[in-house]
Amino acid sequence: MRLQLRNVNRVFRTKAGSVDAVHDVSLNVEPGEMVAITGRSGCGKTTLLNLMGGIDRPSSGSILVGGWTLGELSVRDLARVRRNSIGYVFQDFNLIPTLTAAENVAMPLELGGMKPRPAAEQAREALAGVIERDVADAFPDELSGGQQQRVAIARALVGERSVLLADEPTGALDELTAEVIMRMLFERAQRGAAVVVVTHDPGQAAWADRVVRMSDGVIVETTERSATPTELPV
Amino acid sequence: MTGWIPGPIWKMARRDITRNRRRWFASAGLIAVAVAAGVYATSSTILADDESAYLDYWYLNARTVLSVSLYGESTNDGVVSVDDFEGDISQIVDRYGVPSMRVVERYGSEDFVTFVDFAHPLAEGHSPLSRGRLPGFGEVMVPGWGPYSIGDTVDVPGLGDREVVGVYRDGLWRGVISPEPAPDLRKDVLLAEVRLMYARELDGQSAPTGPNSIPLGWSVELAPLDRDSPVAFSPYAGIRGAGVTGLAAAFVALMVSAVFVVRLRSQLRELGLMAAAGGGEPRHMLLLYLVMGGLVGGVGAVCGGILGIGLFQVSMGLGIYPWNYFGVSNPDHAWFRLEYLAPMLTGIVAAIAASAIAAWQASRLSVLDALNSFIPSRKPWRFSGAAGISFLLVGFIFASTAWNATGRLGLALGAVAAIGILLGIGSLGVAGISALERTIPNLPLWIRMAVRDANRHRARSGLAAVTISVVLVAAGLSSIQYVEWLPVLLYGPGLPLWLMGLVALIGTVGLFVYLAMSEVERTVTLVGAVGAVPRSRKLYSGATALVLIVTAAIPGIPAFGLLVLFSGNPAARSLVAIAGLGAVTLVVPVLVGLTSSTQTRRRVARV
Amino acid sequence: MSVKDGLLALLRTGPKHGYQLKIDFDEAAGDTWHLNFGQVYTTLQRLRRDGLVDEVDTDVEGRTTYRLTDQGSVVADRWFTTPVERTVDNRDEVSLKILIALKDPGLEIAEVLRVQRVNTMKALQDFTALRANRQEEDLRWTMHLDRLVFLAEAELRWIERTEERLRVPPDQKGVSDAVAVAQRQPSL
Repeated sequence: MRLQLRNVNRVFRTKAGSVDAVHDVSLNVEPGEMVAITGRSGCGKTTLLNLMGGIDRPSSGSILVGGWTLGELSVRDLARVRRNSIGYVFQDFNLIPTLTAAENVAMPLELGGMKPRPAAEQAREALAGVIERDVADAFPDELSGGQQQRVAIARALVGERSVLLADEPTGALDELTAEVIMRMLFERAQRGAAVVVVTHDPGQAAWADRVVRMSDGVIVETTERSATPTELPV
Repeated sequence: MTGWIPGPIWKMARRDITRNRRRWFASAGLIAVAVAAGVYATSSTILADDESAYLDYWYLNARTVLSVSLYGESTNDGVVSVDDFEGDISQIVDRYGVPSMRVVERYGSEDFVTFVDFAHPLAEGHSPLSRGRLPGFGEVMVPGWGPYSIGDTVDVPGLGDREVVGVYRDGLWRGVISPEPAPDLRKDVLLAEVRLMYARELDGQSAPTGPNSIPLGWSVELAPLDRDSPVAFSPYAGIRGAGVTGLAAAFVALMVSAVFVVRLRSQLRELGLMAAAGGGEPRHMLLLYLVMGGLVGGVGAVCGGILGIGLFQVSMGLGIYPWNYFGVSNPDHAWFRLEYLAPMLTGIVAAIAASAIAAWQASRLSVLDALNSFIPSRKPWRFSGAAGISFLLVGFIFASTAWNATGRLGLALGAVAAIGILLGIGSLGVAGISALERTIPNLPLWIRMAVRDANRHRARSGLAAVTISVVLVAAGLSSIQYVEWLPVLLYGPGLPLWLMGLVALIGTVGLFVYLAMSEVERTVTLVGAVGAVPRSRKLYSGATALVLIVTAAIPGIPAFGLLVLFSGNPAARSLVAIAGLGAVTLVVPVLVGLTSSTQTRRRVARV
Repeated sequence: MSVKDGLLALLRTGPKHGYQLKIDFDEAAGDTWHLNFGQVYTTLQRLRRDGLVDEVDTDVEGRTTYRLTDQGSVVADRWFTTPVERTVDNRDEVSLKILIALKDPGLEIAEVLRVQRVNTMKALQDFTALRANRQEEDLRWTMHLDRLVFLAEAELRWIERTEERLRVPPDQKGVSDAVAVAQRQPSL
């Protein structure tokens, strides 16, 4: 599913005046593409991600996910689009502590009205190859940070969902676990998902096909990887 | 179940309860106590026959052999001489040889009516079975459900239709009928109201005869009591059960709703995840809390039902009959009655209602705020103090009108009054908390922290203030006898509301301090770690309790005082003075805080 | 490091002839440092002269096999047990360019930084993709790419830090905080 942003603005009004958190941003993320948004803290990258995910609304401009224009949807329809199309992965505390790994993955399906049994089956399918079979029924507090992130990724793409938004997904992890998680996102993109990762870490951003750098709410530069790097660029 | 409630919601609600046992079992326990009280109050039964059977049953078991109500100036309690009464009761004295009588009941808020009770030799070995009147001695009281008016015809058990010649009411409507014209009644004797119970043949024993026997004014035909008559639900038990259940459930719901509000605050991230990552809709959040409320209520209702039935059976075994009307011994030892379902259902409804505030808040959360565990703090409304006073005034105006109204009108007015008073207390509570914050700069650290915490979490502290105020008001109500629109106070003076209020007060403060502590655990630990204060928890909880009580007292004490003022009880009136003093002492720090805050502001401005 | 230390270290696992040593060295270096045979040969001669290695024999194809002498073993062991001294590389071109650019008021230094950053980022992306796309497990290759990734990251971080130091005067640091606070305001 394609993600399109056209001249998106997000203005926050405070007592001190208004702040352009996101200013005139246009960006396309195609299916099968992994895009990283990077920049200093406060540059508007998380706000931009929240706009893409429909948990925040643009002040102007349009955001299209699939055929939907997010800004025009009701709270309820927005929730439906999130449920059916968009997966989210946060830095930490991604999982609902009172639901097992499999139930966390099945949550969006069941909230969408799917019967528990087929939902559980789909969740297990999504979890297969992500974590060991025997931890699917473990509760989040019994999982390591890396396992939790992997479950979150499985949840993000369960069912028909094909847009994966990740906000500092490796911020709370050690180097090697972080690499496993980034590789997982990378592979999801290769298999056709549209993946957007927000990170301040250039090492994590480098996993993306395209790195978008933001500063003061504006996209200042975009870096694209060589089409198919096969040998060292020396 | 899963068709209507999505699986994750159901599981989250269920596991939240099993995982936070202390919190939810305390809540379910509160519900259980309310339900148990309701079940116990509903448990008394009567014989099914009809009201006459019921009344016979009453007389059969009456402690009082002869009860004479005398209208007269009585200024003291204890043993009174017949000379203490203005009316001429020489006939009574002559006839029964009663030189002095024991005052068993002071009746009404005015001072001239006294119930007098004396034992009579007639009582020995016999139960008085019927009632009538002494010739020449006025009227027979007909307890009933009224309202009666003069001129009405009342079907008096055993007597048939009688005309009502006088009406008065205390908690209960009583029509005064005149069984037959008594033209020769003297005026002062007319004022004396005599309730007599006639001896009657019972179980083969004949009525006593002799100089001390009571002459019958007419013959009364009473069917022998049918002991095999089926047991029926007593309407009095129904009213009393409804009242007790209603009051207890409302009070408990207030407390439990605070638990839910606190839970919501610690669960914001989960709700955010549900919305952002799970595509949860507002209705799902709403449902989550309502389901939790239902579960807590269900557990509480079942436990409460068992507790109430157990209490009833134990007290039956001990010979203590639950509150039966006029001391009727309870003919029914049944373990379960369908009527118990009413308080149990009320418990569930109360728990769901308690979860409603949190549920509503949850459904209105912004996804982003929830994800960041952030609740935007709202400034207290500037006029909340004035609004609180206005609400209170309106509430009391309605209350005073409701006082004299009866039936549905009285109930409606009473409800409006209660809502007004609650709103008033709530607004004053909010105003009080924010006023407290202004007193801060010169207070000790722990109190400063507790005050700020109370101010930031107004949903919790405001509820605490309201609950504690309600307790105070309830204690105030206990000094008022015969409040018609509160069924639980039907036989008012008997209910030790002040004692219940005290227990509830301690319980409420304890619960809210516990809630505050669980919410600021991190802060307290942090302060303990930084400042190396080993008693930080104790200090903090003490300060929180203090702040809660002070906050609650701001609206609570005047409300209490006004209620007491209404009661017209001289002892209560002196309490008003104390309450007034208390209120004044509370106003002082608030005023100091107000002025000191302006000073600080000026200082800042100058810099 | 010198080639000398490397060859001595490779001989610890047993006698090897010169060509084998070259192959092993290239493989260990992850194909990033290719020795020519002459360099191997002259180094071996020098080691032999210093008494660190001696010749074992020469096979039919005329290849001489070398092994460590006792003294050579000591030197090889010492190389592993002593840390490499940190030397500050002051001659890195990127830093030199930027430091010189600082002195030139006519230059748009932000642009200099940006151009370099885009380039380094691209390299970093390519390294990462190379590492990710390598299907078979090749630990040495991966380790080498890791190193390149970290070096590029370090350079990127340095550029970013420099940019920040130049761009945001300390008293305006609060601006981004204001944004952070503003972003928490209720929105839906």
